[in-house]
Amino acid sequence: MIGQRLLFISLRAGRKFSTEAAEIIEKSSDFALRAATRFPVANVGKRTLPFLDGYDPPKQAWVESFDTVEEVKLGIMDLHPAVFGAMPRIDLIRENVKWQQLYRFVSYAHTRVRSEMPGGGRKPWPQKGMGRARHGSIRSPLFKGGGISHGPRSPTPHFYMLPFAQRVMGLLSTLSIKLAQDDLHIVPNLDIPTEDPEFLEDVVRTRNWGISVLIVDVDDIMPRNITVASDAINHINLMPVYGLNVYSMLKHETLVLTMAAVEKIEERLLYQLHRSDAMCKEKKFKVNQV
Amino acid sequence: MNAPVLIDTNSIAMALKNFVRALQVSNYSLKGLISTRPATNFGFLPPFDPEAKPKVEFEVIKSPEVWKYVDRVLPPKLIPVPRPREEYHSDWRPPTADPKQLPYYIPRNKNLMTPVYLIIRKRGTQRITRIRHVKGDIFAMEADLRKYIKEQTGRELGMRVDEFCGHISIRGDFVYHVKNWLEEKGF
Repeated sequence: MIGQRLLFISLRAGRKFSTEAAEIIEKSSDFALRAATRFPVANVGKRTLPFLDGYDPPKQAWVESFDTVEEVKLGIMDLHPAVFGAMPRIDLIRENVKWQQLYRFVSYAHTRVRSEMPGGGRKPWPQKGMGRARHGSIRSPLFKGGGISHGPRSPTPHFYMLPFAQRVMGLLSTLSIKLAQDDLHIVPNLDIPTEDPEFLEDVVRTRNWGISVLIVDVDDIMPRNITVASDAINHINLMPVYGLNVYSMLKHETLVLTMAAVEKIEERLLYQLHRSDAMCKEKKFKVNQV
Repeated sequence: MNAPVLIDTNSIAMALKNFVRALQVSNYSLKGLISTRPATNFGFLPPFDPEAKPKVEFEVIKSPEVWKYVDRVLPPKLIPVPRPREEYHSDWRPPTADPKQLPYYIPRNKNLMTPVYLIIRKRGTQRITRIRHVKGDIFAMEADLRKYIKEQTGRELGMRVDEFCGHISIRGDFVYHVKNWLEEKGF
């Protein structure tokens, strides 16, 4: 039953799950050699993760090559369980998405009240003697063509600030979901051999990555080749770590992180989880404060 | 072809005199007025003088040796973890439980306290004891906790388990018993 459901989902999404499709190309014998020659393996394997509680073991993910079309597994990277193995709070993810859509939204819907309508200064008919209801203005909200009371007034900003803990938990949940759903891939760096967009398309197609891919690195100035290649493709986008957000992660099906980006994300999120002055983050946005 | 320029020396002298008087009255220094910075004088603030000497004389040094004393005074960015001691001077104890011993585990929160909270609602008439961050088999923990508090107080408890969020809520104020139980288990 579950298998059928997965098949249905994968058919509908137009892709297979990489656990079904991809095989480990490397033989175990020359695995270490290939990994060692291809890139410095200092960070792969055992990492010393701070703030471990001893209950959750570290999560693990493959580090894949990014300069070949075929997936070459370079090693396994330990991920912090608090960041990549958090409880998937989809309610907080929804709150984050709602907040990201609303805080920049300004409603321009507008209606005029009776004082803003033309005319209406004259009493339409005498108060008494006509057998009709008493009225003082044809622009009264009771009248057809009259003013609107309590209607939308432009501009209406919808800015609000989501509580800090919920913003952090939204990021943790989304990252954890991406990892659990096999939509998170780690690459050593963003160096690709050519600036041809076809190469990126081939990588995405061959590895059964989602149609849309979000590639995240630490620096906002990325290598030339990937910048030029992804510039021509609308659904493959680059983003620095400081721009990572829940909405973009959900907007793109696959999330590709560099190893440096993983370390930076972990470092920042663990800091936000354990900082001593988290209360200060909300102080600025408190309403009705003296 | 220069036209003769008539200068009314008397009026110039008067203007200067008024100007100087204005300076004296408003207590502005001439330097502040003729500087190139925009003149934003709020009346209650003295004019900005970039060359004025600070009231407290100080010396700028760059030395890591000295900076460590400054660092000691600055508030810590992360919650500091106390070093292990033979004897603690308060009721606080570090967690001693083996995380793998029980089917459930309750880690300390970021302030290194057990995550037990009292929620007071409905104008103080509703009290809820909430345990957060429960990991593992939360229903096993609920059964154990229910048994313990039943033994301690003889009361049947209204408990609610939120497995998704890792919360256990107990109707009533049982913070004391829950904390004791957690301490007994070593969390």
